[in-house]
Amino acid sequence: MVPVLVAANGLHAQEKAAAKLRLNYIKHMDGTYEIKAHAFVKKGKEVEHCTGINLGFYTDADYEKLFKKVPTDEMGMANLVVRTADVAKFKDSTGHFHFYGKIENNEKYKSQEADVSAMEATIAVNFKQQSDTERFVQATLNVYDERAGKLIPGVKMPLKCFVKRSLCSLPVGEDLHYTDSAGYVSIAFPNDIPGDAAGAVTVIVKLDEDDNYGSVIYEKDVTWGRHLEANENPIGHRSLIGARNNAPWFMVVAINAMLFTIWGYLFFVMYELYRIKKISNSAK
Amino acid sequence: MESATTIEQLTIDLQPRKFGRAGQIWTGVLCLLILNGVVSYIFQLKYGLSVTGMSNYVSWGIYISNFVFFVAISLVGSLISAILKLSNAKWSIPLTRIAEIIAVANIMFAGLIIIVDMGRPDRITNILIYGRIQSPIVWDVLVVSTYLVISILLLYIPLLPDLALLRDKMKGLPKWQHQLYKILSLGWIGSEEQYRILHKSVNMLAVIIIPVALGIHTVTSWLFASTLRGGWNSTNFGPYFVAGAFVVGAAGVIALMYVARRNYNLEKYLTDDIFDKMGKLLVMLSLVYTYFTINEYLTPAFKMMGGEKALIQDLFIGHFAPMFWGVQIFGVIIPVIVMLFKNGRKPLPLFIVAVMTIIGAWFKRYLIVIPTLFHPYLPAIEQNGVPKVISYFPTWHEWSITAASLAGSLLVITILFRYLPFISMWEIAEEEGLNHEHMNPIAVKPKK
Repeated sequence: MVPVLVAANGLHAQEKAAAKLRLNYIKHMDGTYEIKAHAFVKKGKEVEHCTGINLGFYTDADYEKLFKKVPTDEMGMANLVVRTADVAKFKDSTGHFHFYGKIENNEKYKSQEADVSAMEATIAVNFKQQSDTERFVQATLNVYDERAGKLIPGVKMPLKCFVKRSLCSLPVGEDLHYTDSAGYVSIAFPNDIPGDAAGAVTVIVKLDEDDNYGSVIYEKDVTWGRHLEANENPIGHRSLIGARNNAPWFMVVAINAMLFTIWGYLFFVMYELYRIKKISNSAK
Repeated sequence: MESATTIEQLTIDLQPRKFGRAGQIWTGVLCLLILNGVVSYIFQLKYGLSVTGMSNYVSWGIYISNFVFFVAISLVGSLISAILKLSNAKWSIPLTRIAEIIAVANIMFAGLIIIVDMGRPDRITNILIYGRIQSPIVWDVLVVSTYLVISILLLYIPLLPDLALLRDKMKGLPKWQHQLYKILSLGWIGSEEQYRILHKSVNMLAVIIIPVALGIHTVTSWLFASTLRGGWNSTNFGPYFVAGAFVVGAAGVIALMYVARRNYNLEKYLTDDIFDKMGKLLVMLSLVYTYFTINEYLTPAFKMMGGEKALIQDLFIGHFAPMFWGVQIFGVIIPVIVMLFKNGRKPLPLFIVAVMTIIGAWFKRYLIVIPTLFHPYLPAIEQNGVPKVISYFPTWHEWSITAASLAGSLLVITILFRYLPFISMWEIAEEEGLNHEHMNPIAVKPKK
């Protein structure tokens, strides 16, 4: 019995893989704070995503005060969304946010911890239209200064401006727009960006992966795009590829005319058969 | 009296006869083939088209090539009954009914084999309820139905005087057979008015069947030519198919003529001269068909462009080369060479040549339908990136159902031969100068 138990334990005592955990901090100007976590194992040049494991998010460096557990998806990603009301739990006395993440106990991967810190930053955007062809995205960046203990203009900091698209984002203007001494930058918005049927586009202004402030994203819908003219429905009008009730008129007329002519002809011949029969009957 | 003897002789010579031992065995074999096919079809209905060799890539197989074959051979009705009749080729009179019997039997099974090719035959009504008038398939349904009706009328209407002759003169008939002739003859009395209506109706049908017959096989060719596939995307397909149809139809008539002449001792009616003329006609049709065949293959072979290149290579030197060259040599070239000589147009050699032509024509339809499907535009690749081998070979179920359809059309021909005079007695009598009073003694005399 004992050898069997020992053997059984030996069979189940598989070595756990050493996983890595990366955390990214993103602040959305709609009032939410997001932590994007990625758990993975590096095997040479290949990356194996840690799927279906729980990541714990803590508010303290001792990993004792659990905020929330979030499972990873098939790409090994887990997102923690923190509302403004809860973000104070992650803030210390110096104004820094600290987010602590941990790979919770599981069968496949060793426990791993990671943390990310950032300070508060805000982006305010004004959409100014001087004329039909002159439009500007006016962004102002304010960042938290430890010494001042408050938000101050973010000077010479790079901002990116995009229009949101289905698969990726369409850059507007330069790759990077640097703020001036007032934390201000004005970005000319082009006139030829296609929007939806109402001309709406989603404009994003972003501070991207700053060492101190993480990522800050401002996003808003504006009707500055070109109105998208819906393609004419190829099967919505009479054509060869049209639906059953949208056949070309010439075809409907021609084919029906041929059918009526030929079948009318045939019915006349069948009528002649009837006449033959009638002659026979009258002869009798 | 001499005229009455002649009509009596005609009736004795050409009336339907009971089968001998050979006929009974023949009918038995056909019935067995049909039964085998029905069993296979039940399998197919139960397990779906997975019992066939068809697949996502080769979605048309021998059912469709068989359909094209049936449509082709049925065109002989228009050739003999209409074109030769309207051009006053009197020598073709003994052949008109044989041609129409072939047409009716084959066009019936053309429609049936299409239903077999459908995995869900219960959806046949969808073509009527949801069919689009822009679709060549809808055109094909319309034109096949129309041609079937015309062929039936062109078979039946000229039968009336002969049915009346059988009703009145044929002795020793079972009661049901006599009753059948009585009903089908519509009480025919052979009055001048009836003969006038008959001639007018036959001529009207002979005129209308020509465009419909040309239409049926042109539309069938458009099922292929209206696609963009290599080997099918050809403006030549309409006349190519029609020319091929006339060839196989003429060969079908020759084959049946020989069988009828041999089994019924009809040398007096199906003379060597008729065989000679049919042989010459078949040579001419074969040469026209060869012209279209050269057109069909030379132009893409000269360019060797895109999807056509792989197909041409497959046909000329690849997987289908034995069948392709076999069809050209044994189905066209050798028959034409044989028929160019007078001795080659005698009944027996002509019969052999006709059978070779028919078999070659069946395989030619196989070569039209299937090789193209081996070369799709989108490459056939497995999920792991390995090219998928496209293959098709008909399964046992397909062969047995196809054989059953061929046996079915032969059975229809056999039954019609058994119970109907397959050479038109009244037309031969008319041609020999008999007036209608002699043909139908109870005819109403015209009012003076």
